[in-house]
Amino acid sequence: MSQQTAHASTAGHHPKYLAHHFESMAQQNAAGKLGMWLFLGQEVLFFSGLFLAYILARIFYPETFLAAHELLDWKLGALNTVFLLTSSLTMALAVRGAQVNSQKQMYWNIMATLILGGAFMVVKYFEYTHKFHDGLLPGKLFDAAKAMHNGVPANIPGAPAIFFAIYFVMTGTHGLHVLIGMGLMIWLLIRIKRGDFNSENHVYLENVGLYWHIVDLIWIFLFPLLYLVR
Amino acid sequence: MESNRKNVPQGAHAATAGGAEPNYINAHKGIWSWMTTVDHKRLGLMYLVGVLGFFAVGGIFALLVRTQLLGPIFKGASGKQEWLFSGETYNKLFTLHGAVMVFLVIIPSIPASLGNFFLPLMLGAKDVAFPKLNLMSFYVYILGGAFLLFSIFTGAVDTGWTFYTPYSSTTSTSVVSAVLGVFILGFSSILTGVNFIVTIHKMRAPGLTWVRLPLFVWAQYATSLIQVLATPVLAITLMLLAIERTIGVGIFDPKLGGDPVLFQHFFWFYSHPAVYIMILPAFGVISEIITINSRKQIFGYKAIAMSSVAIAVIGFLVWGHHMFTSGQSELAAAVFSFLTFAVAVPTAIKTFSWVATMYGGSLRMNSAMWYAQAFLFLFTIGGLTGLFLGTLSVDIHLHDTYFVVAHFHYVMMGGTMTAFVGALHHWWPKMTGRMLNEFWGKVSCFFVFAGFNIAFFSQFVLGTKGMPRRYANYLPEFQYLHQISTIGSYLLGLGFFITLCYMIQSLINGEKAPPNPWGGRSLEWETDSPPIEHNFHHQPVVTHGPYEFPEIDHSQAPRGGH
Amino acid sequence: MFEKLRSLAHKSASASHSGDHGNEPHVLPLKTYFVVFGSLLVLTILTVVVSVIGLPPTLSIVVAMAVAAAKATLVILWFMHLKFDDRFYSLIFIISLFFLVLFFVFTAMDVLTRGQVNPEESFFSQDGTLLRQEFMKKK
Repeated sequence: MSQQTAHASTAGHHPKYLAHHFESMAQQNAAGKLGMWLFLGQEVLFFSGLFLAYILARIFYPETFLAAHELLDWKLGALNTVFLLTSSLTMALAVRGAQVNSQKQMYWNIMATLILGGAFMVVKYFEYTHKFHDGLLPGKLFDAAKAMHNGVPANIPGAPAIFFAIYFVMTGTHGLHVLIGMGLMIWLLIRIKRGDFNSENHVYLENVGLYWHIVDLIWIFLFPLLYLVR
Repeated sequence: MESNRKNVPQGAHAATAGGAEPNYINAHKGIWSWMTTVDHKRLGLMYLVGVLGFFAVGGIFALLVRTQLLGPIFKGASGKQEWLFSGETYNKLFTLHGAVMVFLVIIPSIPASLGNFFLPLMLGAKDVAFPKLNLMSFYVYILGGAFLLFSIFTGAVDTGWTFYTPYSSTTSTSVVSAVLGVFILGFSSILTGVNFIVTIHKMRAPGLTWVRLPLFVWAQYATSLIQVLATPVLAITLMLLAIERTIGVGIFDPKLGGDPVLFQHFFWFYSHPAVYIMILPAFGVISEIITINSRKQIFGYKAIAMSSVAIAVIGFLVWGHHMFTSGQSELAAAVFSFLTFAVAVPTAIKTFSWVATMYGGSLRMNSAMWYAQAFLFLFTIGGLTGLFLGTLSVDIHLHDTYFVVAHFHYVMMGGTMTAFVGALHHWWPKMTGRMLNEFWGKVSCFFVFAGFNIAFFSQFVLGTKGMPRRYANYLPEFQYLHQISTIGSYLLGLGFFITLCYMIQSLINGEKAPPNPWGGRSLEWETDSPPIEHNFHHQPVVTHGPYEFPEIDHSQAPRGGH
Repeated sequence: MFEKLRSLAHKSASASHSGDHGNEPHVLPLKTYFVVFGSLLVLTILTVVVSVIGLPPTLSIVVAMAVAAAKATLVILWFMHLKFDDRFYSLIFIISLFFLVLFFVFTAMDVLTRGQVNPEESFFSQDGTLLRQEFMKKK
């Protein structure tokens, strides 16, 4: 009996960030987070196709992978790994900052995450321009003669075009996700400046964090698969 | 107060409150209020208009395809008897028919339109969990549809809706635009799926436990699960195909070391589960219509609910049955064949449960129930012929013949679209506040049912005789069967045209609908017809199962409750 | 299965309508984050070192993937808070991984077992040479 009128009585004191169709902040936050986890499940399956293509290509052409990966610079890959791992740490600390209601911790940790994401993309940019210059391109654009001319030992057995196709598609799709993540960071910074987030309302921050960690997670697998083939 | 409400005679509730509060249609005025609405009911209606519009487009393509197949009977410029279209045009027509019907009509038909409208109502919620995301999915859907149809003006597509490589990466038609359209539509589908799962988990009214959910909600839940988990694989597949066409990335190109069969694995890992995205909501609809019109507790509630989830899971494991002739390994083919048979079990559980629900019930044969009966008949044929195709050796003979075409039309058209139109009849009073004309409803159902069987049963025969699909012409001995099929397709078109006419008539001067014309027990019937903007006058509290009709005699029920 | 669902449903229903803060944020001490981060760096170094030393090919990929999986687990459990959050999120994640594995296993099942009836369909010759690689080399 009392339950039926519950709606009418709570309508009076609505928390500022509570949308009209939710009963409580707890329900709203839980819904937001559940939605994000479902989206992450979707992301896992999205990348699954690329990993499957990798697995099959590596089964078909083990020698190609062994030889071609030498043309990637594992030191740059390792540097990028450290960048992303650190950015994951700062992201987690930003969420913790929100939990303890520290605007400063939120702001500067998100800023650090943004900068580290940017550093990752800069390294990626140098790697890509290098490959472009040497003609180490995906598929039919792969140009062994140009690479040899530039002094790169590109006489790779099997199907080097496929190795570079997979390298570019995987890191490209991942890089796109990093860029999207950086866009989200900028949006977060604006909203933090506006004072939108606090210990009660930070599900957006948390969700961007979850997204950023999954991007990191994919790189954790890409790094040994592409740069450290043995 | 609660027990009080239960005893209120149907209609009295709305009679007192309906006049006071504006409904969702007239709560806000102007086109802009529709364009920017986040109301799930308005969005459901907008999806419905979109889906029906695309259905008309896809239907016209279908009729053109069938007209071509009447044979070389059209007088050409030279005065000779000729085929209506050239082979190239025909290829584009059937591709567009398939792509429009699959991606723009069937996949969003029940989930996006009726699901959007009724899911929150059935849950006793004020809206879906993410209303703005819902609006965005709608625009993404329209954008995807625009891309797909835009390809018509830039050379159309002639690959078939499956976009198989290597043909799709070499043909000169506008594959990229079409593929991009489907890619975008996938996002709409994923976002809707996420939205629905969260809504079902987090937005249920007090007392609405999982076993009190209407079966339509269970079906939507299973559907959304597949949408979220399978659609991303389609996205990555189509992305690779687009890159393949633009820069020749080579992952599907054997010349560079890639593998075209890999495309088929990728594609069907999505597209087979997608078949269940298309049919599961129809199962939900049929569970509702049959139970409500049998005035009886549904037979096997848990079995039907769980079989939806089982179909969703096993449905992921059978994609290889589309590839029996692609050079796939014998072991894989045998395993896929076995698992295909396994899907038949939960599907049969549902069918038997529906029949058992009707057994001994006091059947009310309204037009929605007519459509539900048509569904049972057509879907059973479609499902059983699916088993023929899942049998390895038989499939080698029937693969890519009209038998396959007839099979999936029996399931998709005879199953999903029949259920969709049935659901429109069932929920039309709730959505629009108007009743449909029952007499013309039955007439249209008759034409749809008869026309459908004439159109597609003849194709089973054609298929077993060896008529391959996707051919623009054929040997003379196939002509009479093709002509029968075409006549059937015209009757089918006529049936849907009649439906359209009396739906428009109902909107103009249809009889006013009471809140609960069919005596339903789930929550959507507890609000006005059409519902008010925020769905319910009071937060509903659920104290009973969705199918506990007052006329059920509990003294004789062998197993009461749910 | 149904009982489990019911208890899950009960939990989420009570979380959504009880009105009180059922999911008060679980604040971890700062030290935890830095320990996790340190472990991630150590594992990164480990995977590089293993690669440079050069184990036999099969063992090498197994170790590399095991290390990556360990790193992923650390990120998921602590940085993404899965260890402390609603169990249902874990279930979603596990389901998505389950379907990922199915996708891999079934496709690999096809590719690796071709040619059992007609040996010319196989990717491997009798002595185990990779026909595809040999073919591409000749071109």
